[in-house]
Order: sequence, then structure tokens, then C-alpha cells
Amino acid sequence: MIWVLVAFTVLLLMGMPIAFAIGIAGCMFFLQHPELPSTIPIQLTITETQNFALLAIPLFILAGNLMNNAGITTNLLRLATVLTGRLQGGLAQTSIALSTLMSGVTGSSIADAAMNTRLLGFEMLKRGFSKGYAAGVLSYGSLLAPIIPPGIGFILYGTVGQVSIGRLFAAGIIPGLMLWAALALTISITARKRGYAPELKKRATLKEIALASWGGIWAVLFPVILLLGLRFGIFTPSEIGAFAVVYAVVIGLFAYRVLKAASLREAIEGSLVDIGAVMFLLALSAIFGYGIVFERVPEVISAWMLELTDSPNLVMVLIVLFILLVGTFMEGSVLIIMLTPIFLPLVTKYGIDPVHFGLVFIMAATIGNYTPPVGAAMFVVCQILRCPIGVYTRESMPFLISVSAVTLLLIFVPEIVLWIPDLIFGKP
Amino acid sequence: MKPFYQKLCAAEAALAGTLLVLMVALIFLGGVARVLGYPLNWSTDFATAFFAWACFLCADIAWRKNSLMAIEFLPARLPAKAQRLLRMVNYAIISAFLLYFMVMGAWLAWTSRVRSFQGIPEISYSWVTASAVVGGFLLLVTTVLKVVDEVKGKRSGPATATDVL
Repeated sequence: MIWVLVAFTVLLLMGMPIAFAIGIAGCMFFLQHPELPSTIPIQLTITETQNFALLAIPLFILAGNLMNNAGITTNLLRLATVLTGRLQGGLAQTSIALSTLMSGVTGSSIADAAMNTRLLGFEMLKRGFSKGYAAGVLSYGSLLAPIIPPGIGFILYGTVGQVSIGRLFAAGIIPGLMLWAALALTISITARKRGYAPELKKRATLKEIALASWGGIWAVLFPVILLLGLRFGIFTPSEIGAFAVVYAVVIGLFAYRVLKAASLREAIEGSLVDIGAVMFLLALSAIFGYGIVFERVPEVISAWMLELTDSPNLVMVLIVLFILLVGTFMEGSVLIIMLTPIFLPLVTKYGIDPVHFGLVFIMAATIGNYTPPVGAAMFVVCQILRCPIGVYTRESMPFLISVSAVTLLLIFVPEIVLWIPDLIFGKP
Repeated sequence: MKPFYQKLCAAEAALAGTLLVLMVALIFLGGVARVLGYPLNWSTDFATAFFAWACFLCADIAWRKNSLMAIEFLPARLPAKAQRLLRMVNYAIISAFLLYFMVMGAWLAWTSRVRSFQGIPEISYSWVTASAVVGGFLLLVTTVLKVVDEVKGKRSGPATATDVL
């Protein structure tokens, strides 16, 4: 197994696509074990694609891309503006509120960051926001997308680690709202210093708020419907994915009437690439996973960790630090696919709830998308705004600190995370 | 050669998209039918069979568009010549892997031809296994074309992958 890891690291550093690197390195294990049939790697890959639970992943990717084209965004932007118009920091507050509302329909932070930046980025620069600050707001706001249900991260983690997706979805609600509060507070403080004024001159009337809420009702209802469907066992997670696709198409066609054949096609084509990238990685990681189980790697790491410490909190902090570190140069979804089979057995030994760990894990893995040198959300936002990475890194520091503080709090107070899942689904 | 290949790519995308839509329809119908008390046992079976094909076709589409996630920040710091050499080495290793993948996949498809697929006895499991063979072949063609591009002095473009998280 040590040679598998060496091969994997070398291939990775050579710039080989991670999917291939993981499959090829995984095959090294079979070279070392000639007694195993050489067809097993292919069998493992195909079997992975025959897992019904994994079907939720492509379906939610498609649903997210459709939602972006379904006309929900403009309606939610109106709602976000009336809700936050009087807060210090103007458009920055609106942007975070929009991210929060959008995250109830999309599950991908990068898609969310890209859309928000196109929608609000240049408007923010016009109002006098500095480039680095605007880029920081737009990228960190998208951290909410995978946390507030539904989230692709939860689906990946839940299917790879066989953890209830319903509980994971429910676990994201309070931490998501806490992130919103933390980011809004950070903006209020920094905006006052920088002199960024509120967006609206006067408070929105009740009528305006009601109208805007009605326009966004289909988006706000969506996570509620998903959770109810899962709670009452009406649908399995994969079926919920199919339902999400149908929901997006129906509201795009009938409620908002903006979905056209062309945008439908565009959403499907865009999804094919995303699905290929994730599913190929997941399928080939089965080859790698075989060796990990065969050589009892999680047990070895657990034994080693247990000797080091018996404090669950310390283990969580160590794992989060590790994820943040690796996450600076590796995509979050890769981390979830590769590290869940290793870390989940470890934390279970410490008595940590898999849902609690999953939420913290996904949050830490997503934060890696905002930090240099490699961060997908950071790249997208900085590319659209033409903001140098150095400037972004410096000016987005307050946001990094505030989301890290929330993560730390969630590690030490699992009740915040587990309260809603226990309330909806009962204690496990 | 070129127009044929372009048609092949278009057909690949069309097929993958169709499979995706079929998967949605089958699973949605399956779910609704079950809730109504008429469970369809074949809907999920077909959906997972389509899933295998969709996975490999989408993988090839992503590979062609350089959208597979990779860590490129170390190679990017090397001189251009070394970068090119490194890419060629990568393509060579990947080609060898895909060749192995195809051959073993074909062998599996041949030996599993009598094994029936999940709940549908009339359909051979080889239909699923064949997805790995066809997928491996398409990925291999894409890889070889990347090598051809490199030899001609064109770089197939830097990775443009974004994460789904």
C-alpha cells in the first residue's frame, strides 16, 4: 500500500488528472498481489457505477444547473435587496443574502460564486467596493451553497460513507444560517471602516417584502419539500434528485416562464462535463479503495491516533487542519471522495457522530476552495472580476477568519449541528 | 477523419444527455409509481445500467474538454519544454492504463455474457460491462489525439476544471 501512495503522490505532482492518478496508483496494489485476478480493478470500477445511491450525484448536479437557468435568481435578488437594503455594506450584504437564498436550490459553491459574480460583481465595483473586497464577499458567500440543503457535498459524503442524507441535509440548516450571520456581521464591521453605505435610502415597506417573498416562494419551499420527502420516507435520496430535476424544469417552464429549450440544453450539456469529472473520479477511486480496505488502513491510522490522543475534539481539530492544509491545493470533492473512507471509521471510534463530522468535514473542504494557491471558487470569482490573487487573499482575510471561527465553534458544540436532525428524524 | 470525429463527439454528447434525461424520467416514474402502490422493479435497473454508460461517456467528454481535476500548480512552474515532456509522459501512462482497462473489460464482458442483469433475466450483464470497453476506447482515442496535438505543437489547452462542491 505504501507504493500505491508513493505512486499516487508522484502522478499527482506530475499534473496527471486526479481520476487517472487514483486509478493507476490503485492498480499498483494488484501488481504487488499477483494472486488477485487482474480483472478486479475493472470489476470494481463498473460495480461502483451500479450503486443506485450514487445516482443522486448526477441528478443533483443537473438539478443545480437547471435551477440556475430557471429564473429563480432574479426573483431571489429582489427578495435579498429588500431584506438587506438598509444594512451597512449595501450590495455586499445583498450578495450574502442572495447566496443564502440560492443555496436552498443549488448545491454547488462554485456555480453559486460564478453566478453571483456575474450578477453583482461589476455592480459592486461601480458602487466603489474595492476589487479584493468584492471578490472576497462573492466567493465566501458561496460557502453557504453546499451547507444549506441540498448540497452536493452532503450527497458525496453520504453515499461514500453510507450516512443518512436526510440527516445531513437537516444538519446544514443552523450552521448555514450561522455562516450567514457571521459573514453579515463581518461585512457590517468592515464596511463601516471602509465607508460602504447601505443600498436602499429607506426601509422597504411590508408590501414590498411580501411581494418579493412571493416571487421567491418556489425557491424557499424547495429545501423544505426535500426534507419532508426524506423525513416521511416518501422518496429515497436518488429519487429526490430526480424530483429536484423535475421541480426545476416545472417552475422554470410554468412558474417563472423563462426556461427555454436552448437553456435546457445548455444546462444538460454543462452537467455532462461536471458529471464526467466527478463520477469518473469516484468510479476509479473504487480501485484505490480496495487496497485501503484490504490492508486495513483506517484501523492502522485509528490505532495510531488513539495512542496519540483520546480527545474527540482534538481529533476533529487535527483532521480539519489537515483538510484545510490539503484543501489549499486540492478540490473539495476530491477530498470527500478520497478521505471519507479513511476518516469516517476513525471518528466513529471516538464516538463522534458521523453527521456532525460530515458537516464539519464538508465545510473545511469547501473553505479550501477559497484559499490560494488552488481554489476553484477563488479562481472563478477572480477571473471574472480580473482581480489579482494576492489582492484577493489580503482583502478576504476577515471572511476567512469569520468562517473558520464558525467551523471551530461547530466542532466543539455538536448540539448546534445535531439539534435539527434529531428533531426531524429522531435520535439515531 | 476530422468531420467523422466531430460527428462522433456530437453523437457521444447527444447519447450521454439522452441517457441522463432517461435516468431522471425512470427514477422519477419509479418513485411516483412506488408511492402510488405500483412499484416498478425494472425502472431502477435500467437507470443504473444507463448510469454506467453515462459515466464513461461523460468522463470522455470531460477529458476532451480538459475538465478533469488535476493539480497543475507544480508543473506550471517548470520551463515550457519540461512541461511538455511531463504531459507526454502522463499521456503515455494513461494510454497504457486505458489499454489494460479495455482489454480486461472486454474479457469480463465475454465471461459475464451468461450472467443476467439484476432483475431482468433477458438482458445480459455484458451490456453493462461493455460500457467500460467502449468508454475505455473513447478515452484512449481522446488521449491519442491529445498526443497528436502536442506533436503538432498545439497544446490542447490548460485544465479548466472546476469543482462541483
